Amino acid sequence: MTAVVFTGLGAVSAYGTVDGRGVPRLLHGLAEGRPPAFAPAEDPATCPIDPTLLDEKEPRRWLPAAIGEALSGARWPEDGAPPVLLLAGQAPAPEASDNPLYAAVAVEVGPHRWEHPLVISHACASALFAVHFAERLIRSGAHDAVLVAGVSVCTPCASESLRVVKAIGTVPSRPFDRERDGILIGEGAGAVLLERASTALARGAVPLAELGASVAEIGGASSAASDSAIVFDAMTRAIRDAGAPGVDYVHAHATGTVQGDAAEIEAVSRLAAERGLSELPVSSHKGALGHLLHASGFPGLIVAVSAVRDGVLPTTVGLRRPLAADGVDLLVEGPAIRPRRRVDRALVNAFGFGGNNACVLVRRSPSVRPHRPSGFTPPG
Amino acid sequence: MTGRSCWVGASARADIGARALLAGSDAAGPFDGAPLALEIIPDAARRTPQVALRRCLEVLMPGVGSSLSTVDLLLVFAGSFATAFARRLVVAVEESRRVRPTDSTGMETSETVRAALVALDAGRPRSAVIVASDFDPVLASAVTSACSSALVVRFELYGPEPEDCDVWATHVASPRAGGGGS
Repeated sequence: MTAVVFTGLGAVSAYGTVDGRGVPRLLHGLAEGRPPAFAPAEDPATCPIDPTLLDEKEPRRWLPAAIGEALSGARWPEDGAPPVLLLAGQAPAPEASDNPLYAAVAVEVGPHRWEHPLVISHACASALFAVHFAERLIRSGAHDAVLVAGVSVCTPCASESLRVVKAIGTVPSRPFDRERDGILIGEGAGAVLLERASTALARGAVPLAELGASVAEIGGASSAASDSAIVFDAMTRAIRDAGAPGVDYVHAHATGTVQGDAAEIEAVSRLAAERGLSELPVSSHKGALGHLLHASGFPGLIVAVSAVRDGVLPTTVGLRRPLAADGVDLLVEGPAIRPRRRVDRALVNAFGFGGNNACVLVRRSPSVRPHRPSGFTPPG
Repeated sequence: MTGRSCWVGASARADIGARALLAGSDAAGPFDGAPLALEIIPDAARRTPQVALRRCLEVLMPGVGSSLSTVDLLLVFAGSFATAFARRLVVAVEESRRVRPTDSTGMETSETVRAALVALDAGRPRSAVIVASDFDPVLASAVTSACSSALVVRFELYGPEPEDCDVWATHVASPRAGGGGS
């Protein structure tokens, strides 16, 4: 089967953009196990980025900045045609609307410009569904390289869409914590470049990790509630489709809601039992950054790629009294860890309103050479 | 396109037949050729897109098999449809009207799809992707040609509201394909 690899990553988050070596500051921030400094929020449901920490202070520049980082990291030639772009978002903007709820109808990054990029719309699982579609585009032979990107900005529309379904919490999100009570909305942008391994290597790119498998499906009896059985099925299929015996780390969707977190950890615990996994490490970025909604899959993808390259696992900010879960090691708040067991495979989960369920399995692959550590190291 | 391709449509408009002919003459990828069935619903009995989609899938089921679980990919194009639903939330928030739960959960095209699948009660496809962009016959053909069995759906808006919508669906079977994606 055609190997598909990650060759570029980009992120604009409340931790900043990238460091001098091109490593997303998101990884440094999560590794420290502390939330970033947010800007004062007019709406208590949100934790907005402090723009003074960014070079790109305007939210409309965050998406191009993340894409630019991914292309730069992948050494994509400036004089070449750009890869096809998939935007993880709600819907294309109607004419004359600049409401950031909508996806951009044109994106410009350096010499590259995309008009009417395809918008992949699956609520908070959009980024992972877009990765799944990218995988299909590459494996089908339609494209050699696909850029997946998205942005989320705190707006009244974002807040009201969650407030009306009573998903907003009263305190910062505490995923998997016994005292969790809901979501806090964050903001930022992300981008990943996926390529056919053979063409990536041929043009001199350095694969960061391999896309082992992806599952993206619509199902469930409820428009809003997570279905533990479907979550379990999706994770199991991703592992099976990758031909893997199991996984070494799960980056959970875990928004901090009572029902969603319980359903997800029940599914992960069942997965650990059926696969004979013990102390399966699980964490989520949403306690640190809040919920990036349609773009919320990107921090998980970046963490997963880093996990299989560098063996470093971030903990979950805000998690102090974890739920009981057999076979699972819910990584409580603190500095990142380097587990005893090598991290060869990392699973990323994302779920969303409208029955959206997606899992992406990222793996270290001996077929991908050369393998070069990112240079990212955890504190301590 | 390998294998078999047939398509159905459901609309509240009386002129869908004319649009279907246009689509057929436009080399519309998986929707090329004459439709298997067209169902025209009088405006007075307007159906929701969810019900229209369920009806389309019902008509296609004999060709699909006993369960949708044999379908490798459900590929949905919903550009203007998705925008119309999102606009409903924007208008409710910006005009300070009462926002309803369905303005949030229902603005996702996947919710229309999910509800139709539940109502059909024939399982769920192995994968689904909603492209909130205009229908692209080249893209649809490229992706579905790698699938052993695929469904392609188009939500085509003809008015300002999401309910002002034709729904077209087609089943594409490519027996020699090894199954696309993962």
